[in-house]
Parts: sequence; structure tokens; C-alpha cells
Amino acid sequence: MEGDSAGGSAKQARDRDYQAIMPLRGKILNSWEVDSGEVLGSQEVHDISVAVGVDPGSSNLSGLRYGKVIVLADADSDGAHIATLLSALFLRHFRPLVDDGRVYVAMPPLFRLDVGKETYYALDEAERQGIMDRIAAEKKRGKVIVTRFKGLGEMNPMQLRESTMAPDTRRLVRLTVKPGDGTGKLLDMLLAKKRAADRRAWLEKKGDLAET
Amino acid sequence: MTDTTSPSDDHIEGMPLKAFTEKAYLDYSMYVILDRALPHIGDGLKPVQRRIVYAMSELGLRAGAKFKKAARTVGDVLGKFHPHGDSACYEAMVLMAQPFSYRYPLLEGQGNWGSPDDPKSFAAMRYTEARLAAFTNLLLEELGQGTVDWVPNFDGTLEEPKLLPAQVPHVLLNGTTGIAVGMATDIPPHNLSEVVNATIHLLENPRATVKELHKHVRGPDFPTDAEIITPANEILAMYETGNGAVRMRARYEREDSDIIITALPHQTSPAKVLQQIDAQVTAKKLPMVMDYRDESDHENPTRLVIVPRSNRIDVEELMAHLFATTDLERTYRVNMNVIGLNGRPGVCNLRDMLTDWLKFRTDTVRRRLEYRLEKVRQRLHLLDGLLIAFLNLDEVIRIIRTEDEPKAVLMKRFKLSEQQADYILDTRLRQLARLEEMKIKGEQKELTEERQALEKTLGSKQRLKTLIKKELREIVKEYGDPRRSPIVEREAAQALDETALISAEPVTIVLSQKGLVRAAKGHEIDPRTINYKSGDGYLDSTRCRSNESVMFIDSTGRTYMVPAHVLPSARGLGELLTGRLSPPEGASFCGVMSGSADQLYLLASSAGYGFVARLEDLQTKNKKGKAVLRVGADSKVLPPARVDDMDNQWLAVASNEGRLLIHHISELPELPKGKGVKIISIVPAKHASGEEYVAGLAVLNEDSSLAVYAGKRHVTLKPEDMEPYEGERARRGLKLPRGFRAVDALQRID
Repeated sequence: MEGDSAGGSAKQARDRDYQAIMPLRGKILNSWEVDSGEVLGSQEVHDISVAVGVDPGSSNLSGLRYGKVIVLADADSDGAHIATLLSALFLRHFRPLVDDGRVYVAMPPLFRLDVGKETYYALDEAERQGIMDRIAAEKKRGKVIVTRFKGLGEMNPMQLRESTMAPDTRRLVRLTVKPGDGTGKLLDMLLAKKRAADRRAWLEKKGDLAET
Repeated sequence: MTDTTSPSDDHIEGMPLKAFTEKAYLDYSMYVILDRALPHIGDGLKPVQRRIVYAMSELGLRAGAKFKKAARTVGDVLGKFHPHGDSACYEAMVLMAQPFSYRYPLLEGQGNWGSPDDPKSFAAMRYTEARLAAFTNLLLEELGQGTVDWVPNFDGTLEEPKLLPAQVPHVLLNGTTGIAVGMATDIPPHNLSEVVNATIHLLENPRATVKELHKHVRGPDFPTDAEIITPANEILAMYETGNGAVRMRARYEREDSDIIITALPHQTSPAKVLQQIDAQVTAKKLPMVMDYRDESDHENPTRLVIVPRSNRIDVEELMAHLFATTDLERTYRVNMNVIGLNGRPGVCNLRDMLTDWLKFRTDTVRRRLEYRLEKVRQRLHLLDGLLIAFLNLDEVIRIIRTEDEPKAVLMKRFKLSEQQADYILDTRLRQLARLEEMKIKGEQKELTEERQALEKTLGSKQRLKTLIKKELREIVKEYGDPRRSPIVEREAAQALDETALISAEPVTIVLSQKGLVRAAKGHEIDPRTINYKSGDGYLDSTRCRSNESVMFIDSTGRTYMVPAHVLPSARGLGELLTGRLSPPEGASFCGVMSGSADQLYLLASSAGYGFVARLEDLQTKNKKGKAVLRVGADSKVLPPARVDDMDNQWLAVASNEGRLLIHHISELPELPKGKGVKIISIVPAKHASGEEYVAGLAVLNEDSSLAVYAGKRHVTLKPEDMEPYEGERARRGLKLPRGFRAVDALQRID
């Protein structure tokens, strides 16, 4: 699945035998406090449910159409928001998927390096250093500009394929829930309508840890 | 699903959903708080606004320039500084250009930038054009004077100002609203003269209290002429805490008998107000309004006309009602949450806000002066060199002509610095020849004076303060304007009592056997003859006025109350009472009552028990009703009978076996609730099996007759015919004549 404006290139970047792309348009509904019966009222959630092949709130996974459900969102703050909303959706309405270990988050590259006319993407700090070293070794000319990577729409289909989608080179994170680890409580604090005061306290405590 | 797993996956890591979500949400929250929704105290702008203003100044769109398409600005903002959605950016731009949204618009628009009726009705950005307003100079003027930090843009190719060097506390002038995560901000707009005067006061008296500042800043000042009606002490409390609310009320005038509304509260659309009035008129809640229309035009931006039905109508009362029930009066939340100088969000009171802003301003002015001082020093240094060159012009020219490296020789020969030597070499020969000692000395003198003044100002806090003060005063002179929204103390608006608005027409409330209820106009109709759904039929009815309340009793002995005017007309088949009330499951409605609070009704069950109750004791606002009559599991509740005269009326009661008993109604007690006493003796065992029960009741006057309905036949007993049946309560009663013993109902005939 996808953030918004990169849906087309992701489709070209996939392996059609076992990968399918479902672009989401903008942010989905905050489904944390919505009944499983009513959550289908949202078009996006309905589409997700149909695409995955599982009804919200059902424990029956026999209709499941894919082995992995992968959330692929931009590495910026709005991407983080979409990922949060999707996590909440899966945890609340598609709990069996999460318990079964089928929900993943794809980690798009963190850095973009521009050298002259060439562009490289680095998945993490170590890889960035590797690319820098290689550029130095090859004595390429020009200043290396390192920027934090913004949106998936920045990449060509081939780059997207290599960096985030091809099973050999991508980085996936499986989202896990252990019984009693307080996941539900935390998400309630983050997303419930009536808990703005708690969120405020949480932000005051942890606000410094954020990366923007 | 078996074949759809990917072949190999080397890079899978596990992460608890909890940790991932918390991190993701934290990043998002902090971004929204710091970089999207909240304004900075320094320039009072959110990042998108700052970027629009800066991008426009870069496009050369300063005040007085030629207009350029909004799309160019938006394109520049997105492409250079703000990698987000174009529509959100354009909307932010539109808001800054709307004179009815911003107290001091930052942009000047050309084309359709939206109207107060519908602020979002602006044209697409490919049509509209814009340039900066003169006011925006206050944010941009000092930008190139070394006053702000510059930060790289999102891709590191350009630089943008971290803040704009605002010369006024702009955060209070235009105000702002924003919703972030865990916090929001609502800062109302203010008047420039008032705010700047308060700032000057605070500068002179750093220990000034909010109360003293409040003498200058009387309250918010919205871009509308409507009145602010929040009492002064509440406004003061709001400034003291940074939290509170402001109420605004529309202004109206009288023209003959018409009411003319000339100003609406901030961000209130005339169209919406008319819609609200229209809804009330349609619901017949505004009988005193005959006509209402929008007559706004170019001369009167707001002109809503309300025509009262007659000149006897109390206009003040009508307007008070409209203020209370429509957007003609609105409350604005205030929560002065801004990003402070330390980069953290926080709610500020008025004093903290101005103190912090003064720190920001002092810092900006100091940087501006230091920057200027540096320039002056450089220029003086160059002038020193130039003067030396002038005094030795021939020698200089000789060196330049003959030496291979004239710069080094010049430096050595005249003890010049590198910059001075460069400057002399860069000067054109023509200018070198034209140098005049007087001119150079004149400039030197001027600059030295300026340097001294700058150094003095920078060296003394007091002088710096005086300078800031002087500049602020000049700004008030140039940009200050009188307050737009007058602050007036008014009485709280009072909605008219709904029942007072309802005309008191006579109506007959009819209850059907299936629990459908309706209100027929007039008291003359015969409720038995109106149409019922098939399978349904007449059960009970009562005559009352449309401004009264109607009581219902259900089969469990609970009573309920519904205002008569909400019931549907009898032209239809009525509506289910269960839509308005929530009786216990399985209960059905058995009767209807109405009248004044001390109206008496006889409540009785089919077991032959009952009492007289005052209507007052049956009243309840609870939708679940009020338990009044205790009835056994086998008994039914009979339709209540109206009792008008406890002392002189009689009660006729008949059982299904044809026994009729008539006794004084005063034999029954008046109770607020309970089972009551035995009215007629019914054999309990037979009642339990359903063989014997009370079939009908009727309250009789001294001279009224009694109709006994039995199947398709009925007989009328005249007062003299009733004597044999008279007795004390709790008797069995006397059998009716044969053929009339299968009693269905009793009815009084006057």
C-alpha cells in the first residue's frame, strides 16, 4: 500500500507476480473509536478491507489475499501520521492480521545524496556513509549534498523498486503485539477524542525525542 | 494465498507496534505543533504564512508593485520552501488577503478572493492576482539588514528566513487559529495602536501588570463593526490567563418599523444567519417576523432587513431572541498558545506575550544596528584609504602604471589594508581623477557621527529602549487606525420562551389504540369519526390549548408529558408516541389528559381500584415517565376521567358483567400516587382469570345522563333512571337491564 502521489510509480516498481499496490488518497479516517460495523462507511477503509480480503472485526482469515500487508508511507511527518492511523485501523479492526504477524511497515530510504547529476538513496546512516566513501574513492567531482528524503514521489520507479520494494534490498519491519504490553492503552491515549489532556502531558514528557 | 508470499526476504526486522506507533505519532505531533499549526511569538506567523510572505517579497511583489498571479506565488512557495499541498497553501494565502478575515491583511488581492457570504468562494489561483500590502512592510523591511537567522530550505539549495523581523507584535494584531495535537491556539485580532501603546507602556515600565496593559488594550478588535459584549472584567481575566472567550453581537438600527442589521460578528455569513431565521420561521417559532431579506450591496457591505409583523412588536425582545438563537451573536474561544522564544509552545498571558516580543524586538533592533555599524566601519575604513590615495594621487597612478603587482606595493607604500588597496584599484580612473577632498571628508564626518551614535545606542540599554520606543511611535502614526469593533456592555441575550411564542389555539389531542397521537384543530371535532389505520381505532382524547402540555398514562401506570404544539396535525394519521417517549418494554398507552396544574383526574385500573390525582403530581420531564398508578399484573389501566368538581360530581362505573354502580366522587381520596381504594367490588379470583373487570367509567354532573354502550346497542340513562344504581363505593353494583350487560364503555351526556 501507499502514500498518495507515488501510487503510479509504485505500480511500475512492483513485481506483478506477488505484489499489489493500493494507493491511499491522503489521510484515512481515525477509526480508533469507530465500531467495526460502521468503519466500512469510510471509502478508504472499505477499499482496504476488500483489497485485503478480510472483513473488519472478523477473526476469519481464510479470505486473506496477500501474505504481507505492507504500509508504505512517505518518510515525513504526514507519512508518520498515516502510518499511525493505519496501525490503529489494523489493530482495532483487523486484529487477527496483526496477531498473525502479517502487518509490516516498509522503511523507505532516509537520505538522498546528490553528487553532480547523480542521485543516490541511503536506507540508513551506515549506508549513507558507505555511499559517501564510495564517492570519495571514485573521486567524483562536485559537492555531495545530503538531504533527508521527503516523499516517495521523488523517486523513479526503478529507484523505488530497488530501495523499498524488491524483497532482496528492501527493509521491512514487522509490527508485533504481545498480549499485555499496553499497545491498546497507548493507542487509546494517542487517538481517543477525549484524551487531549493526556496527549499534552505525553508531549511535554517526550516532545524532545521527536525527529522532524 | 499460498503462492502470493514473496520468495525471499532478508531484511525483515521485528518491532512492537506500540513502539512504532508511538514514535511515528510523536514525530507527527511535534512537527504539527512546531512547524505547522502554531504561530511564532516573534512575527506571529505560521511557517506557511511566513513562506508565502517571503516568497512574494522575493518575487518582487512588494506593496505598489504590479499584481502577479497567485499561482506563481504558490508555485514558488511549494517549489522553494514548503513541500506540501498546493490547495492548503493557496487557502492560507487567500485568508491573508481577505479584509473580512484579517484585521490587517498582509496581501492585496485582485480578482475574486472570496466574500463574507462564503469566504471559500474565491476563484482558482490561476485567475487571482496578488501583491503584498503596505502593512507587510512592517514584517519585511528589515529583512536584508542582518536581523534574522537564515536556514536552509527542505532540499538545502536555498535559504529562507527563520523568522521575519516584525516591527510590531503581529501575533496579536491579526491573531490566528490552529489545531495541533494535544493543543490548539486561538488568538483574537487586536488594534495596532492599542497593542503598540501597551507595548510602549511595558517598555517604559517593565513591571507593569496585565491590568495596566488592559487600560491600553481594551479588548480584541475584529475586522467587523459588530460589538464586543464581553464584560471588561472577563476580558481582563482572559488577558491575565491567556484563556477565555469573547462574545460578539451584531449591530442593528431602526428604519421606520424595520430592523436593519448593519454589522455581523466576525466570520459570520449573512446567508447563514438568514438561513437560521428562515428555519425558525418555517418551524413557526417566529410569528412576529413578517419578512427578512439580504440587501447588502457596495454601499452597505452588510444590510440584513427584518420586517416585524406589526409595530406593536417589542423589537428589543425579538432581537434578544435572535441573538440568543442565531449567529447574530457568537462566542470566540481565546487560547493564546504560541511558540515562544525558547522554541517551545506555551499559553501566554498578555504581559508575557508582550515582554517576550519586546525581547525579540530588542534583539532584532540590536542586530540591525550592529549590522549597520559594521557597514559604517567598513566604509570609513575604505574612505581612509581613499583619502590617502587622493592626497597622493600622482604617486598612486605611477605605482599602478609601473609596478607589476601594484596592490602589494600600494599596501606597503601607504600602509593600506587589503580591502583599501582593492577598493582603490577597483575605482575607475575617471572617478579617481574626480575625487574631491571635501566630499570625502564630508562623508567621513557624516559616517563618523553615525558610528558614534550607533555605538552609543548599542552601548546603552536606555538609548536602545528610546530608539525602539521612537520607532514604535512612528509606526502607530503611520499604520495606526481607530478601533473597529466597539466594546459595549450589554445585557445577556434571552431566547423567548418557546411556549410564549406558540399561539394558544384550541386543539383536541387524539390517542389511538396503537399509540398514535395527533392534534386536531378546534374542540368541536368528534375524535371517534376521524380516520384510523386499519386495525387501529379511537382510544382516548382531550381538549386543550396548543401552548399547554399533554399527559399520557401507559399500561404500567406511568405518566408522561409532551408539549401539545409538537404533536402532528390530525390531517395525517399521527405519529407513534414511542418516538418521543421511552416507556418500559411492552407497555402501551392507555389515556391522555390535559389541563391546568390543579386539574383533577380519576386514575383507575380494571381491578376496580383507583384514586383522584392532581395533574401537577403527574408532571415529569423524564422521557421514561413517572410511576403514578400501581396496577397488578393482571389489570389494565383505564382511560383517565376528568374530574371538575370533587364535591358535586358522581362517578359511574360498570363491570363487564353488566353491574353498574354510581357514587359520589368525594368518596375517593386525592392521592399523588399509589394503588388507590376500591371503587367497585370485583371478585379478585375472577379478575385474575380475566372473567371479570371494570368495563367503563364516567364522571357525571348532577343533571347529566349516562350512555351505556354494549356491543352495537346503547341505552341512555337519565338522572332519574340512575337512582337504583346509586350506592356507596366498593359495592358490587346493580345489574343493568338485559341486552345491555355486555358493557363496552360509559359516556357522559350533558
